[in-house]
Amino acid sequence: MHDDKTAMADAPWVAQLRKGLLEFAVLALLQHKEAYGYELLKRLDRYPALSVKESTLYLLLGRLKKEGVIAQRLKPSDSGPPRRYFHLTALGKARLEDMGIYWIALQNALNQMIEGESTP
Amino acid sequence: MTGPDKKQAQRLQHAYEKEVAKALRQAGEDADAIALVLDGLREQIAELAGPDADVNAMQAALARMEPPQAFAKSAQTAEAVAMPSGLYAQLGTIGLGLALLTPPVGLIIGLGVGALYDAQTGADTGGMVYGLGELMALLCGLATWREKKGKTIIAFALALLLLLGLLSFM
Repeated sequence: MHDDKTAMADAPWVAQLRKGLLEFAVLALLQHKEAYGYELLKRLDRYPALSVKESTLYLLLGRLKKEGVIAQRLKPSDSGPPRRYFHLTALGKARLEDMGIYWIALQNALNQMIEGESTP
Repeated sequence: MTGPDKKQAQRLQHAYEKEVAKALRQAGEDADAIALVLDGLREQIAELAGPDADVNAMQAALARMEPPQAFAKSAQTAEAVAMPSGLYAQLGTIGLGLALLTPPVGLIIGLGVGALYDAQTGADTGGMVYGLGELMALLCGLATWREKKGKTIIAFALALLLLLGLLSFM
């Protein structure tokens, strides 16, 4: 069973699906609490289905920042250089809300397909 | 911990960061994106190795990091809409070929060299080759403006410039 799960996690379609959902997951994690990059990586790691590597996450954060969906502020750190804490902007909050609505519609549609469409 | 030990640890970290930056540059990422990735890596390494890390702590921390090439792979698979760097090189070498020879031969040589660059260059190199090729084509064309060849070179160089502009908007 474990081997099946490991093999599934490595499948290309899983990577594609996860990549598509990662932006949603990052915005969702930032909606209640700001976080720095590595902290986000560790928080995502708690959910194996959404766990990613630093190369994927830091590039995504860069893209989201460029789009104005997230913003950053510097805070001193005990363990080294100051950390950049990311938070949602107004645009980011609006996008997260839209994503939430779309997610529910998507989930409902897929559930209906999986369970079998009712004949009209 | 001794000063040299700490310095060696810092050198290891800098070497890793340099490799990551190079991989990202070659994948076509801009300076802002690279800076953000490096900042994230510095925070992560600082947390893994601890403040004032010695060589052993740094080596252990770096062993837990992704290899630099993984960043290039992630950047390439991201939804980038930038023009492929190889195309810059291709257009630039055509320009260079045109500048040196008459258009048909220059075109063939340019395409051949461009294909080689396609396989080997990153964004910076591709862009540089393009810029130099265009510049040389235009200068050679201007220098031989009174001859038919000069006019043809200029026409081709401008056509390449226009093509690049059009492709940038696609």
